[in-house]
Amino acid sequence: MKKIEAIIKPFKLEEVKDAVTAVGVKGITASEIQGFGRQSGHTEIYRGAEYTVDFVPKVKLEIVVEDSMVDSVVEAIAGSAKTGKIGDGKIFVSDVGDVIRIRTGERGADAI
Amino acid sequence: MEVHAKTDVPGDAADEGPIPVLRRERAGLAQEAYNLSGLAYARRHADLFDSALRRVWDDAIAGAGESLGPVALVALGGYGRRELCPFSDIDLMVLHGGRRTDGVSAVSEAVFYPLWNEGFDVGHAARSVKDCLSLAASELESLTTLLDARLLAGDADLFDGLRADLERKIGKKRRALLTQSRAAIAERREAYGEGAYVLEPNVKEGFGGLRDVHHVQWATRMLDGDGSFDDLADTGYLSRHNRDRLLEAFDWLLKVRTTLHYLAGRKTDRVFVEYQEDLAGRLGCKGVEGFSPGDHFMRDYHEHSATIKHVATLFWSRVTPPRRRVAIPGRRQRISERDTPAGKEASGTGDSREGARAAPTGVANGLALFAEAARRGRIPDPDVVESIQETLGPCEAPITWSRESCGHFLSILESRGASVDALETMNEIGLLSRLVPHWDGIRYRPSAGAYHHFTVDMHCFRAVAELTRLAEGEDDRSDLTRRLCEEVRQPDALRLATLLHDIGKGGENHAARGATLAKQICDATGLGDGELVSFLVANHLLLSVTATRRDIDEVHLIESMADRVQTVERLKMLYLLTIADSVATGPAAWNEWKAALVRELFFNVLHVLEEREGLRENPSPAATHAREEARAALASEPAADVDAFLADLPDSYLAGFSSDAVHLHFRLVHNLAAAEIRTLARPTRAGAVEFALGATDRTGLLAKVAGVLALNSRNILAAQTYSLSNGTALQIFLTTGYFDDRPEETDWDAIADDLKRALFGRMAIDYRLARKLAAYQRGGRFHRAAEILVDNSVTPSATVIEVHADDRIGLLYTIAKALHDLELDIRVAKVSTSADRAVDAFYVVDAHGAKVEDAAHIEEIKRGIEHQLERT
Repeated sequence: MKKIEAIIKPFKLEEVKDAVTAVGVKGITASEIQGFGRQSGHTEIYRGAEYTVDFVPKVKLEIVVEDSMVDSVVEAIAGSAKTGKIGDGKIFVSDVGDVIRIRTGERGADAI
Repeated sequence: MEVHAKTDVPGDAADEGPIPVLRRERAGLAQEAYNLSGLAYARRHADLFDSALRRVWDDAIAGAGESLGPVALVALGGYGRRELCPFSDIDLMVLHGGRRTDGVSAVSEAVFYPLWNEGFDVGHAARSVKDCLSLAASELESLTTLLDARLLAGDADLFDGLRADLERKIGKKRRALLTQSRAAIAERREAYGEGAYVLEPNVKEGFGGLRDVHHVQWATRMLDGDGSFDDLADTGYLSRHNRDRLLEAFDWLLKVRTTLHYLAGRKTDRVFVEYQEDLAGRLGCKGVEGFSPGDHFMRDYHEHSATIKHVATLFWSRVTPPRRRVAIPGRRQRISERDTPAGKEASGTGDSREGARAAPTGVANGLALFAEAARRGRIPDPDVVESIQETLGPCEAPITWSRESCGHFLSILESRGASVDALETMNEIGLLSRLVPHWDGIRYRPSAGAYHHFTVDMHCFRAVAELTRLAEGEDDRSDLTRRLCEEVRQPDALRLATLLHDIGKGGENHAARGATLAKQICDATGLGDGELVSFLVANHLLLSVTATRRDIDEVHLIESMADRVQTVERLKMLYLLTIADSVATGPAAWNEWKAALVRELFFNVLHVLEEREGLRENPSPAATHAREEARAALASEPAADVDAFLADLPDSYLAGFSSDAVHLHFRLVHNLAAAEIRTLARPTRAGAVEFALGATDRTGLLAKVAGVLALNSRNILAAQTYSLSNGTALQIFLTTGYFDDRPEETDWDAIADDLKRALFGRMAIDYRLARKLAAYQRGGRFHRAAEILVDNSVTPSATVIEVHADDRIGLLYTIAKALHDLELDIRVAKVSTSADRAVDAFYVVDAHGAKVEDAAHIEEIKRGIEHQLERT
């Protein structure tokens, strides 16, 4: 099992959700986050005063899937989140040791 | 007090134990509960316990020894008041003569154990009179519990002794106790918040809840009354009318609490949303026009709760007058110079109209009084409020708005700190409904959605207050919102729109519906510019919805937003309204994340609108301000040169750069030698680098610089070029890397060197760029023909040529070179890219400095640019 974490532009949330649902993802955790990468923050100037945005607002998605689905989910995210401009975000894929569904106690792939 | 020694158990149940009888009778009462009023139920419920406990007590006493001494069973708190909801605590005390003997313990256990075993929540104690008095002296809550004490069974003399001692104690420190009561109410308000106006109120502890009525009753007892509802009017602190309203509201809330307990199957005081539909059904709220049954129920809830809040406030103002009050012409000054309780209303009937005969009456005068108080940051004296309420006249009487009334109303919206209290009070007494057409559609209306915390009307009041806070700069880390508040030229219209922004709630598409209503309200009252207010109401969600759901860097989106908003002034108002609305909604609707997105969108649209407006002739106060700031930053430079420099630059330039940047730009062009070229590269936003240069002005300069930047793999996001009167040109480019976003990897010195060679004709830009293009040509791309638009309506001083073309390396160079070949002077170039399509706009004049208006000339220009684009 893998965890796929994707940092995307906020307005892309619906599109990405639809895209990953279409390839069979059953659950997504989404959070409002702020951070910076290459896009970094920036400074707006208004009437001579500077207004700095250090952290850019983004949405983080967390999705856990079976290994066989990783490629299609990553592709779905990358395809739907892309605008081609700076700040489109990143996707991280990492191993997941185990998954437990709290209500039933199911473990592993059954609990996804 | 009469003591019921005998129980009134029905004959056929005489053999049944008291607890089984209680169980059976409580089940029977539960069947009838919904047909009883709140108080009737609570009293009957308490009576059932009385009967059972007297039997239990008799059995316990019979089992105790001879040496027991005087003892009594006393009901305390809510049970003492005969105010028992289905799962209320049963507060009991065994009062004894002094020593807690084994006999007392045995009797206590015999009384309490059966109740515990049955699963009741029993508050239990065994105390002497002395214990009680010292507890009562130590904390207010113990004292008020004892104020409610009622003898159930046992030694009446012992109980009467306790009552007499308690009254003596209270008599000695009446004022201190009343002050403590007020403090306790304030503390409770702090801990539980509002009862009225919140979406899930606490029926007991919330402000405007049952507890506020208890406090009124306790205070009356501290003032020698008996605390009954009749007594409240008889002792003169409330008029009969308000006493009746208080009683009715209390009774209704008590029924809500009873019903809530049954629905939840346990003791609970919070009116959670999931119970509201069921409560509506049980309390007979069937829904009225525009209100669902659940909303109807909550509207009634808030109305009753607000009544309690309002009457209790009135009561307290008469019992312990606050220091400051507003003098009312023609009205006798009461309370402030007298002491309680001698200062009770002299009439003895509590009819506060008695002293108000000469007081101003009617809607218009009521409004004037609220305005007068608001200007001092207060609300009117509760007595005045009461007299306004009583003289509002019949609801159907038409209101005539005068210029003066409008001024009064707007000054209430503007008042610091008092606007929420004033509007809330005006809402409660029905004044607001009389003044503002359609107001009843949102009065006490619950808001839908998890984001919301308050009813619609309270949300609007809070939003208005939020504007005041923004103007004082309390919200923002920076002072952006404060400055915007200062700059807004029609703050009254903004405040009015904020009050009315949700007036359309209760129907589909509340923003559009509200816009129509707001227009009608403005037309009917003359309160403000109907078009503007209606625009703001219609678009109050535009910024927040767009910021979170759309690509706020997308050029066409920003342009279409700018088209919709039209002016910088309206954008500023919309931005302030958005923040006030969001903050007032509740913490879930506004956080730094969302604030950053909305601010970003605001700036993006602002830049477009300022650019459109900046090229017009009339300078705004803001532009004047920017000029002054720039002048201050350039204070160390020769004044005459600074003046000339600033005079050459348009408002749009000064609005777009910080005063530090302006200083750097000045240095680029100041005392420039003929062959000299000065350059500057500084990182600005989002990994972009501003590249600026000063050079002797010559045609074709833009094309050459653009070419050199393209050769060095810099993508041009925006370009501004200014021809200065000292014969130099200032050109500023916002650039990013084509292939990466790391500005530190670009060798800006090398670019400066290239530039010098290019300007002195030692670099064949065409040739080099063709080679570079060959190396990097992206294959297989869909090619669309360029579109070229020429517009002379944008600004009086220049022709705008807009080129839409597929983005590629050197595009700006190609177009600029084509314009140069046509002897056109580029005043401003604005370059932007959406996906792989570039939209470049050039403000140009011909060789004589005039606009290009001849159709044939325009056609020639289009052909020339097209040719260059196709060739490369």
